[in-house]
Amino acid sequence: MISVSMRNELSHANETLTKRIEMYFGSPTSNELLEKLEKRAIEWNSSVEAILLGEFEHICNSMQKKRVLKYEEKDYNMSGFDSHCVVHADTEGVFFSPPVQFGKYTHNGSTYPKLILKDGYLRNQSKKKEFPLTDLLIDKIGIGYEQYFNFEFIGFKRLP
Amino acid sequence: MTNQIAMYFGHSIPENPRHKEIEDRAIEWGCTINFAILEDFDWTFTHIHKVHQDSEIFNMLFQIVTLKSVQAPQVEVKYGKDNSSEVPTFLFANSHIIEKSTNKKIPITHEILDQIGSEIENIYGYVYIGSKILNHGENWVFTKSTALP
Repeated sequence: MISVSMRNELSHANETLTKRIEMYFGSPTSNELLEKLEKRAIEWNSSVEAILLGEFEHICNSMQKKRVLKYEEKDYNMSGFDSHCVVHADTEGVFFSPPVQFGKYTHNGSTYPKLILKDGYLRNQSKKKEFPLTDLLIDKIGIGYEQYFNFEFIGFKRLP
Repeated sequence: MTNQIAMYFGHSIPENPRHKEIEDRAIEWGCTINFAILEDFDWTFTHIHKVHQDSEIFNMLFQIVTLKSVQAPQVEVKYGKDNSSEVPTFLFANSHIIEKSTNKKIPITHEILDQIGSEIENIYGYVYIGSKILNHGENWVFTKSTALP
């Protein structure tokens, strides 16, 4: 039998996992990339901020594209976000990322990119929310995205 | 002795933001677009991703297409300095990746290479031409007679 305190804890956890997750990113991780994008801003007569956001959004869009990938001899239609989740969550079998959107946030007067995850669950093959994205796991995925996007991962928040 | 792999790319894709940058550079330097592409490719992977120091970007690429935590082979950015090959090329030191959890070698198949090639095409905007798993001692240089599977 589940005790009252355990039931409260479970319902609290459930409430946390239904919240959307915002993953915040900062500047490029390498000076070389920053230099290249600053040069692009001059050539295109645009602000560095707009160019940085554009570069991040471009990678985000390419990550949204689905491709057929093989896992244990079976084919799956997966986005780059799905693949990253499978690798970093180290799940037994294939799970899919919650829907991800590109977004922006402002900090100290500057605008930076963010990724918005619809909620805190990976989906199973029947699209059912099953595998919880723990704080530890989100950090791990964030570091993976930092390496892939070449933009510093700052942290994340769960928001209603 | 292990088999090396050569992965070849072509021109830049007009819809990609890098294309205009490459065109502008060719005008600024008074060079051909092909040369500007080679320089851009070299700069992106040697200076930004530093593939000669570690293969982190390739670890990620192999991970997302194999859905496993793996170590990529060493990668070099190559292009023909003798003008016999003028396409941006990656040369992989061998033809397997290593699964980190089991230390097991996984052979790199053409299917995996084509998926990695199209990931690079999508993100960086260089058209993926194809890859070749080289026989021992076979030259990686891409010429008109290079047959790709």
